[in-house]
Amino acid sequence: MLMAIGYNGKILHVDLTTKEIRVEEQPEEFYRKYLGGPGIGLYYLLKEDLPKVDPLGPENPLVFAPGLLTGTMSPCVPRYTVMCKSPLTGALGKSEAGGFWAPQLKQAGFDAIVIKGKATEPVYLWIENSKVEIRSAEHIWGTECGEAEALIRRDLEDQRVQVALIGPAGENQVLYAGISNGLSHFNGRNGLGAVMGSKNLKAIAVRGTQAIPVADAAKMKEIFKWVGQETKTHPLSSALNKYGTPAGITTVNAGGSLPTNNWQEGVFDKAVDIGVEKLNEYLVEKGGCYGCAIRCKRVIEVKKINLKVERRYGGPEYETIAAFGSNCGISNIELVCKANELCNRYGMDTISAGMAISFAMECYEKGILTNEETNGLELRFGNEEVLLPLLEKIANRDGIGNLLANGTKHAAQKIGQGSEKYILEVKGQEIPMHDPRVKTGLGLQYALAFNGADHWFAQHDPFFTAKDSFGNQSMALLGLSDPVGATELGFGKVRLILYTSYLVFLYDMLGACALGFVARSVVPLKKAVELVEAATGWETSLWELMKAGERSHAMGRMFNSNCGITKKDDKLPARFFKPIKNGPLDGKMAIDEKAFQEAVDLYYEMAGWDTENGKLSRGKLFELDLQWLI
Amino acid sequence: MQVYVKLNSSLKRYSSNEEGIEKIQNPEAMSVKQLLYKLNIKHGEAAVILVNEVLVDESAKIEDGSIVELYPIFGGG
Repeated sequence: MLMAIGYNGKILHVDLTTKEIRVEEQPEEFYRKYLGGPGIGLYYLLKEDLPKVDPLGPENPLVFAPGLLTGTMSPCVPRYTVMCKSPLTGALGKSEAGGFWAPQLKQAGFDAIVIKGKATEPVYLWIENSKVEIRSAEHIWGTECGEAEALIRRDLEDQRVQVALIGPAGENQVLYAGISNGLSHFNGRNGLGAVMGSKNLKAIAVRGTQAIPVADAAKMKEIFKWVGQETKTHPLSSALNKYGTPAGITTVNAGGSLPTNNWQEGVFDKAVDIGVEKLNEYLVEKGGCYGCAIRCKRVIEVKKINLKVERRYGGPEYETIAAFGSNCGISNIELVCKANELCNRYGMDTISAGMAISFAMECYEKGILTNEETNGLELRFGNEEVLLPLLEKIANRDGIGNLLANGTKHAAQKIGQGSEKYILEVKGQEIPMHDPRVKTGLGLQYALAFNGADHWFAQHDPFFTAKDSFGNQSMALLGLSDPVGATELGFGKVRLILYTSYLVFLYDMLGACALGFVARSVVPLKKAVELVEAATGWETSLWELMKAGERSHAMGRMFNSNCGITKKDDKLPARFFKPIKNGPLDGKMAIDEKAFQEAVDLYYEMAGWDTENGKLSRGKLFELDLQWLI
Repeated sequence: MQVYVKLNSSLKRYSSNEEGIEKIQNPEAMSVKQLLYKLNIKHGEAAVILVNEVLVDESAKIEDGSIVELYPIFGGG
């Protein structure tokens, strides 16, 4: 086989049941079609053809796939995708993470790891350049993420080892347990940590020191330097550097759509107390990922007599602050930081955990849950005393925590008594902290995303509302120069979401971070194409790459169709068809249910999906070179 | 006419002070769009606009003595 350029040409397969380790070589055509990330991940998931697999059973494959460009000198490209069948949704499980783990895996010589089976005892994988071992993790099982990482690095006598691992939440198979790397980067959603836990796999440790050969290193360096300079002055990247995502709290609140008290209201009167200026009182450093100059992550530390928050687990992002703050009626930023630390120590999704707590609070306030059922905890909005104990209970599946650990959909089914009215989920995954009533394209994202409610399935509406908006300018070359109103639901909005959902899949296939690339940030699409050319030596185009994005998008839909996901599952919670309460948008913004359904129908037609079961048409599958799925 | 402007988080970079508070004079009435132009704010960067605590868009007219609050565009995170 010709020497691979820009990638390794090697996929690592590990069977934890048989302990078989083998390396599969894939030709250039494979990478040209599937690139990396979800393209490779879905290829292996679909090849298995296991629609009825138990997500927590040994047959559920778990794939770790860095992007095509991850590990090369590409700016803002640190990421990898983890995929499997999700135990939370029963549909595609897919979550990306940044940090430094994936570049190490690529530099160790592998483009992806496909894990099957289940170990008889707790184990971890150790990958050091081309050497792969399955090692005992019995002495590490049960430890929190920080301790686990320290023990593994001590075992391997190398502090530079990067470790992707699960905490107690994953071991206890909390259905929204995540996978942590570097202690502050997460494949947070969909319960992928529970799948790892079900396999008795505690961690994957990697150390890679082999530079990935590229076709034009000088070109890559030139682009890397250009982005580094632009990052300092571009309004979006410099804002992320200066304030991170927490700046969104007061902005979204001022705009009247901050989730408050389990989405009952749109403004939180104490938003300033959990805003970025307050968080900055505890900021010690700005953190970042491999090859990214933006440094959007907040590193915080709290050192009070009665409350300490360690810096190594990272500070809370916007989603976490809203989920544990306004949406639980809590205005104590130190407590929110502690809740974030707890989730990161246990390895648990902060969005789903926060939503499980706010759901329980609404049930308690409405008399559906009793004191006995809540183990004596008074689950009222704003009651700061319950937040940390509840998180401990969820992570350890203790008492009411055991109920909430299965997600709000399962919890509501168990509780009954009309509690279903208080859940906000799609396909079983809880809604993130953005209100689709002020951006209807986001509503389409939530409904249509393959992995449940996902706020990065496509790009966000506010970036496309005027001729010279960031999005309209940067995406004009995709044919998206016409502005579309934030609350429109016509064909222009549907096409915007369709095209940008292909683009976001492409970003994931490359390993690009949405907070580094257009429309959300600085790296333009033409530079993305140049990076692929410089890395691989291919003469390619945005057209070919967008087709690759469409290809893995199609594979995602086919996976879900095989799992029995139909258009009936692509729906929004009922609360969004009612107006926002309180604040500047009081009584307004209810989404028109009929118009929304028509938009979903049109998305299906535009994408070439069967109008009921979502399967791609025969013609579309051939066009995308996916005829092997027919 | 005179309006008071509060620039929030990353929009503070358009302000002459750390608090992000500006007093803007104009010989005649103006729209929000004209105010943003006067402040040199890149179009699309100020996405949440309140005039006297009411959410408005760029076409809104500003009266003398109004308080305008500007917040930056946000998505994701």
